[in-house]
Amino acid sequence: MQVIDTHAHWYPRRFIELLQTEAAANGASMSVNASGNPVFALPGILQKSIMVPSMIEPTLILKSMDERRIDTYALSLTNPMVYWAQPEFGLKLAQAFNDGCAEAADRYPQRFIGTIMLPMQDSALAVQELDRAAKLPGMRAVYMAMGINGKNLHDKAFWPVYARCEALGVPIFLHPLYPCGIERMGEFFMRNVLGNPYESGIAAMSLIAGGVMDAFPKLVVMLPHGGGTFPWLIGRFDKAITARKELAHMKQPASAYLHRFYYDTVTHHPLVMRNLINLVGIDRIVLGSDYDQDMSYQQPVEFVDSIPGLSAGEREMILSGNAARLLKLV
Amino acid sequence: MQAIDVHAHWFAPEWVELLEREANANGATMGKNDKGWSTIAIPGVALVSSFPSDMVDLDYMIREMDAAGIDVRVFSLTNPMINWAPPEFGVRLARAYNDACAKAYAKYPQRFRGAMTLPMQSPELAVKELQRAAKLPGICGVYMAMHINGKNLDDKSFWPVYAECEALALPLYLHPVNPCGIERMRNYHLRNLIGNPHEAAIAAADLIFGGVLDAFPTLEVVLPHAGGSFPWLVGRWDNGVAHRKELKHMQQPASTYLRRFYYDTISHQPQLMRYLIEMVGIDRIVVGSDYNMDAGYPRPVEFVDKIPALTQEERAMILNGNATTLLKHQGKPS
Repeated sequence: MQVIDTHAHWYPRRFIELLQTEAAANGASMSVNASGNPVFALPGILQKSIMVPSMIEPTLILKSMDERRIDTYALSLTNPMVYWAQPEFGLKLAQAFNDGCAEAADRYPQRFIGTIMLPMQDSALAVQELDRAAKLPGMRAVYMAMGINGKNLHDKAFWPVYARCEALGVPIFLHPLYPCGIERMGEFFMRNVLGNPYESGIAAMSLIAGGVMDAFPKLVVMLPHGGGTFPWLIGRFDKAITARKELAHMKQPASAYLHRFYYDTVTHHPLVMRNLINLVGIDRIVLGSDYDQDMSYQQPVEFVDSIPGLSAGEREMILSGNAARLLKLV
Repeated sequence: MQAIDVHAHWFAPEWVELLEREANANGATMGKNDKGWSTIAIPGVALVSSFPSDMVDLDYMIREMDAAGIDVRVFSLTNPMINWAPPEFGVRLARAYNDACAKAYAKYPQRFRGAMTLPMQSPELAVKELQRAAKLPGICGVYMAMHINGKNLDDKSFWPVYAECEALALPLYLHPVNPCGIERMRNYHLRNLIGNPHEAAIAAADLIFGGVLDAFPTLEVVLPHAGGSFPWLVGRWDNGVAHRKELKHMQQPASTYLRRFYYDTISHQPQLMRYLIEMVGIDRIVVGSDYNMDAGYPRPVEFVDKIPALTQEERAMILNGNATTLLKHQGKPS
């Protein structure tokens, strides 16, 4: 059984080097912290991106995978992603990341799959880069933030990208980036433990109520962190669709769309996972670890094994079968 | 067995009239909508609240409880609450509401309970009103927003209020007002659908991580909307406590605090109620209706009866037993 982890982050060397040479000229800053690690910062954003060796060197990543009994990582770019930059530089950054992934996937074809980062701040450039990167070795999903410079995902500017993803049969993996409401979540790491899952709810409902999931019926979307707040508020969404004029255009309840998404296992709560399986179906759950942040699982497979009442069939689907289908590896 | 609903809203007519007379002089803008009801617009608040007659006319509202199958309702003030007002006006708004609750209880002692409102924009004045209103007949709790004009609930200025609530054995009922992140929630009613439940999670996090629940170990806190996002994210919070410097002050995981809260039934999803019962315990669930918002239940008891595999004992606890414990502080004579 090929154990596939859909939620693992890295920074390819060429991406870091591009930032080191050109970030300052593009409104951001790269420095080095006391441990010698590159640190990226944006004006006005408190959260900095620290690039540690275990998220840069393929050999270290492979070592961690062996320790965690993972066969394959789908590698993705987390903060800062590329939307903060002017479109042309955003494209350069995306290309650097995508080329880095393709190189890793080509070198280690059984171990690494790449996800495609796109300069969503300019949808023409995004579609262009999607077409280019989708042909590169091992690139099997698009990776995208849950809000693009303050715009929600249903914004019509992004529809050409969705159309292309659907036409190419490429799923979209979403991830939070600089969550909203930060002024109320400055303490206790709330921006992460609350703000990140919150973004999943906004993203999912924007795609549903904003008509994206209907306009692109074959589009597949994966939500990290067990879908964040989305599954647990589904009753509230359904009720609003029956009662509110803002949602009078909806032809189906929100809960009809639960099965349009995939959900990873990064919930840190075995009972919540069992409830999620009951709510959305075992075939929608994929393994994630959030490598290598401190909110990740050191032993993601062990976490799956702690899900109450897990059958062998369920285990295989979560660890392998569902992701293989999602990423079209079979 | 009496069915008790702890989440229902009333705009006392005396309170509405005070707004109509003086809100414009105090920074708000009163108006009238096309149904002839008063409305209030407040700078910096996205929601323009209106005061429909079915949430003002107490006699009507008490009769409606019969149709809903509810015996006792705890009524509270919802958006816009009163924290937006200059302190002196806030105090008068609070007194008007709390005194109206006492009158309503005197008229309907078998049906009505009131959760008092406080001028939290001035915690000193809030403590004074808390001490005064606690003596009013029919007052059974304190209703509070999940942030006070942007200040989170763990702010030390609010601790005297919590101390007094604990000393008086009055539960704290929390409710969202003006949720954060509004710039990302301008469509599809998301401000309410997602913003409100998210506020419950921030409020719970503040009370847990900010040390309020430890400092006041017998303080009871009731979360609306089945606790919003809070229960479902608690695993993530536990992981944060285990690994993050921002949370290394915590002596216990976040999940140990799940049972410090009560949760109402407003989830609109019976299966989710069963999950919630498993996570927090049957003894923490109380009935809510959100009367008379469209996000609520006209038939809150019927919703309870849809919870999968509900036993008679569970039903009795949700409809009556748990709320009876909360309402211990009932109808003190003045």
